[in-house]
Amino acid sequence: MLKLTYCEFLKLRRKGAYKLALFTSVLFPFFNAALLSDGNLEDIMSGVREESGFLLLIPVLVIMAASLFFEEHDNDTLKNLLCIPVSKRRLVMAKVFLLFLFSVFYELAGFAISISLALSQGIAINGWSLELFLTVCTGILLWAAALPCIILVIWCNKSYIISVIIAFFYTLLGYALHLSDTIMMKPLGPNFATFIPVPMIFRWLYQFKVPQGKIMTDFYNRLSPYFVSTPIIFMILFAEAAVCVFIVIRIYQKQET
Amino acid sequence: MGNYIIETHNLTKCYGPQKSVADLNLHVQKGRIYGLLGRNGAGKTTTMKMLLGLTQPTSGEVYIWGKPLCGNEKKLLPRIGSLIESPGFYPNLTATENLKIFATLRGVPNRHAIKDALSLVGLPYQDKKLFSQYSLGMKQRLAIALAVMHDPELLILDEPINGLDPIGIAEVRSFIRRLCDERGKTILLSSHILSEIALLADDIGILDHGTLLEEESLAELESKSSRHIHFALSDAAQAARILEHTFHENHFTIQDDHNLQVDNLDISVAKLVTAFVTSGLEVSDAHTCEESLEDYFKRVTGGEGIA
Repeated sequence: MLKLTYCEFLKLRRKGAYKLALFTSVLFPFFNAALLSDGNLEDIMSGVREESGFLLLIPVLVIMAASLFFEEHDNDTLKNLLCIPVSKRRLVMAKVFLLFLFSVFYELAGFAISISLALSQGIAINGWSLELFLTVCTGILLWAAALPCIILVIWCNKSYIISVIIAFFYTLLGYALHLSDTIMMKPLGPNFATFIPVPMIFRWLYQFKVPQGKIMTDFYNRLSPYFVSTPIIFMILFAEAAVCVFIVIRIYQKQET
Repeated sequence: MGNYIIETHNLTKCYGPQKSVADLNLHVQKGRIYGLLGRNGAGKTTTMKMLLGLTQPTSGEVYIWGKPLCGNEKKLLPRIGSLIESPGFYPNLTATENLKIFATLRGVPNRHAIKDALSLVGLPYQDKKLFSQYSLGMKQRLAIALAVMHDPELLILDEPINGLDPIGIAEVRSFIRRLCDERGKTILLSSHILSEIALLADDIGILDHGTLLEEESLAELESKSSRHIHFALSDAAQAARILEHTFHENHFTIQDDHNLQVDNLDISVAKLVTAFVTSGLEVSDAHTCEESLEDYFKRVTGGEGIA
């Protein structure tokens, strides 16, 4: 499995799109640093986790997944791998694991650049370890959140344009739902929609915020009964991820070599 | 199972209502080159894909080294090198980088395996040129390098000379021959080019519309190809009597009143003509006919021929 993952990294050589994808991780930290020069580390970091994570990382992961899964067909390399033999199951696992590492690294890159910008602006970096923990956790959870969309992309097995469109709509849907009281102000469970990953991640993430101002405090107090604890969110999203990976494997196995 | 490296039992592959391969019983012997010959679309690639587990047969079984392929892929496939259809590599990587990926996944222990494989097919090691910049011939060479890199006992090569220039074809041909003769590899290769198979293969299987029409050694096939002396003369029946009584020869065919075919080429044509003329027959034509392998293949494939 490690060999397969290592080889997945080797395949990325000279692929400018992946570097560009990683580069997007610094966009929001720069925006936040420019716009929140009088802010604190928590504000800057929430930009890394929410805007950068919810709006950029998820589509980036989905488009990367499309590229990773389609390349074996496009380049006609799948037959070479299957003749080694590398099973489609292990191949899917390696590619999904690569996406996992990318997701965590993406968030870490955002964290590193934000810390650097905060230091350069003289903003105190108190509580950086909690921020680091939350950022890494967000990277992991957003990877799991992207998997349902990755299923769609692989199931469609169409062009990259279709993948981009699917990723765009999935991202917008997730982001819109996390703003919806209908989804957010409900306990987890009875309503199936409460298990949609992005709003659930937001329920978990928001409990670590220190609310400032009346609007934020009111919202915090309204949402607090519906916060999700760290073990619960990891349990639910890992379970969802396991189901998604299983479905991806099944779809990939059924596709003709 | 005999001494067969590859053996198939009624191997069949259907795509919808169409049978791509039908009841194929293939027998590849150890240390020999088996040429699978057939026109485009005859089912050669489908057969090879089934032998490598790349596509599941609709029915029938594949045995490799006497073991069923199904369920033994992890044991059997690492001992096989293959080239199926067009060469498939990552376009953003060089030849060395591409081979490194597959060598890593195969766990090739020899540190020089990549260099050796590339040098075998005449490609440079650690060249900066990307696979996407390769010509078709270079891509084909790289695919052959991949097939032999892990020193497999069995090679399954689908149209290995595709895209190669004439010198490249000769090099690959001699390379394949050496692999078999000097290193004892068993090789199954396919081609739609009769001359290539005739030059390289020890055993030949003729595949037509998914059916294996013939499976024999090249020598046997050559002996099967019809060779005879043809006579056009005034009375074929009298000529037949002369053949029987004077030459004690029974291997002949009377085609019609004036045409006769003698299947034994050991008899001198000159002596026969003299005997016929002496007996008062008029001989208007006498010549030796040799049916080429191509004519033979045309005949067994129902007149369509091969290439």
